[in-house]
Amino acid sequence: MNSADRIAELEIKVLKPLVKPGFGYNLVLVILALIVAIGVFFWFGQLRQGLVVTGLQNQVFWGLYITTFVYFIGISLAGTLVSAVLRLTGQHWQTPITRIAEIITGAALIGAAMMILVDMGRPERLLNVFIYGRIQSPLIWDVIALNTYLFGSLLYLYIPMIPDLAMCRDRLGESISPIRHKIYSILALGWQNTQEQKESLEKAINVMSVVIIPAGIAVHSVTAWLFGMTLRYGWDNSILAPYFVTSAFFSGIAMVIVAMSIYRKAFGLEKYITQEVFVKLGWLLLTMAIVYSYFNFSELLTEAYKLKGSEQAFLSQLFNGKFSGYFWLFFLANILIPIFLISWSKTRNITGITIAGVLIIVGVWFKRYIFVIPTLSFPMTPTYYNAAAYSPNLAEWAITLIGLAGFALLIGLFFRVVPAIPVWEVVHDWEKSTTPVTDHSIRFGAAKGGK
Amino acid sequence: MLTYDITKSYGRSYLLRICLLIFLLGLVSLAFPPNAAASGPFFQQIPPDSGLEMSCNLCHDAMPGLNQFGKDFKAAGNDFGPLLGGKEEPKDSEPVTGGTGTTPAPVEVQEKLDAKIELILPGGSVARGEKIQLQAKVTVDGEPVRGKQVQFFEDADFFLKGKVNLGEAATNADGIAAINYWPRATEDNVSLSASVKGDNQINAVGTTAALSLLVAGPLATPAEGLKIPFLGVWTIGLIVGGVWSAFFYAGYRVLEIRKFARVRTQEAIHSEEERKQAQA
Repeated sequence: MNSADRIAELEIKVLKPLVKPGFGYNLVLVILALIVAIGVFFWFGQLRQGLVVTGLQNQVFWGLYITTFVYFIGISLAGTLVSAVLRLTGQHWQTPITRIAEIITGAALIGAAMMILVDMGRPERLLNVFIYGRIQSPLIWDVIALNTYLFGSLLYLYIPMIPDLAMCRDRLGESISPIRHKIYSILALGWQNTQEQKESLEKAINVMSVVIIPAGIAVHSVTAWLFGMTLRYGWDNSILAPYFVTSAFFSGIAMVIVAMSIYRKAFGLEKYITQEVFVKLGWLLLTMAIVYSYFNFSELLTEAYKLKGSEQAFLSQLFNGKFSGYFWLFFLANILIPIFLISWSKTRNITGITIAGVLIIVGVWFKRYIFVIPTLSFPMTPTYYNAAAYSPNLAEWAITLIGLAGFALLIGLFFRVVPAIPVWEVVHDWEKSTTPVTDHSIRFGAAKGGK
Repeated sequence: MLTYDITKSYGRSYLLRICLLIFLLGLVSLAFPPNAAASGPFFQQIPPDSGLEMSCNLCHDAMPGLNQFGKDFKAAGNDFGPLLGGKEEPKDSEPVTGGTGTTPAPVEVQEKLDAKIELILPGGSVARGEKIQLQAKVTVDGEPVRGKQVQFFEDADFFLKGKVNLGEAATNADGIAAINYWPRATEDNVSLSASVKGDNQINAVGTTAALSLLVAGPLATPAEGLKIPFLGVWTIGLIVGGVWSAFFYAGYRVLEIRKFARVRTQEAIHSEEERKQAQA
């Protein structure tokens, strides 16, 4: 097959789902939309009656909503790592999955913002955060960092999409509605693949690749400081920021693995998202799992050795108390089994790595749960009375599903209108592999001689 | 060359449109703003049919201080049972707040009448964040009506217009219902309203009034902390500003793509005109 046929085949593969995605794909979108609709129904109930409809209380004032918020913040680092960091370090094996990683970032950040909105109880007071917010408060740092990262991530998602949007404009023709064609035309910014346009695109991507990394790390650090700046057991820890960043890379990679596994099967992209990509992400995941285990061990050892104050009672909740089930589930699903699956050569394949990814994205949520809830459940003030244990109720679960199902729905809808694989970047890599590196290389990595 | 033509129609997805329709319906429902209020753990334990006021004011004057009912509740082991057994009717001279008797008493009105409601606010301006009492007087033909539940609302106008439920209380023998209120609006004036639902004795009626607020500076005073040389709010501003400047620079480069496209199009038109002129 010559180069032109190869490119044509790739275009057909990625454009076909935009026109005819298949019944199963649409069915999944409808089911997700229904779940979101049910959640929205419960949310209106909460707006009408107040947070009293949830299981939240004076003691445990952060529950499922903040657990899921922290979870989404962690997931959102996927785009930064897979796309920006690997681009800058000259890696090209990840090119076919950069868009998946970038949309995961965007959707996760929107999900995180949504969770904050529902946790506020009174979202119409959101503006007060900006009017009366004090810069001394980590909550305001989080507002600033989250908005900055959200804006940057959406921009970073959009910029590399421009040539592919132009491809949709030029290639989809009459198979899409005129309105959709017009939208592609507007978003493609008149892209004609000229040298000047390529240079402008290159500069914009390079600037964003550099600046999105500190923005991403900042948002995870600041979220960690939301907890770390308090004097509560389990949170009063100086290691929390790097621990959160590592955990975010860890869960972000797992989410990318699961998403690319789904889209690979759903859209028949086996030829482009190969086992090599899975194995390389698997190694990254293994590295992060080891670093994450180290941080967990360090955190728990430091607290468990000194046992200052009531830390013994607090930690006992995790090891053999009422939260021990979640803790050991996390230990198995996030540490032991994934490390085993990726380390052992017989399971280091697409299936094994995908199972590890699924276990991690589920286990990390439980880890967030036992990070938020036990600390708040632990009595800290003399006025504490023996209130009932926190237990999320139906309304809280349904509203949380707005975020979780909405996250999947956003990604599903996105790939209904935009190619899942960045065609122009993949083609560019193919061309690079057969021609010498030039001064106009679209990637820093290529200029450095990376592959 | 491959013959598969992507421009041919592969059919349209109706399922996707249903999905989008559900979303649109969700957005439309946002046009009906609800009322909301937050509450503590014991709030959920208030027996719904007990006639007790479903409000923070039942137990608190100002958070976290307890009023007499709150103290009695705490003394009873955080149990509403003993309190319900020995509940007394409110004194005639006092507005009914704090849940001390919201059971509507028989009103000396035989026919369904038109009632009037008047919102009584403190004179002059009040300071933001300062506790005041909102009172509403319900009368029929100038005579006070006892035992009617009055709901108090604050008009909110952000994202969407709507009413925030401030609480409710029953009228006493003077026809007055009262709740405690801490104005926290950012505007100079707050629009408040009070209403009574219609029943088999009176028709529904409502009224509104404006409360003037004093701008009393920030709600919190920053405490003294560490002073570190060269470190201040400006540092955060510099860092965040730097990141946003980079975003805008990237955005500028992206917009250049459009500019180049326009230049190229104009050049093509120009050369086409020149070609036509040359031919002519």
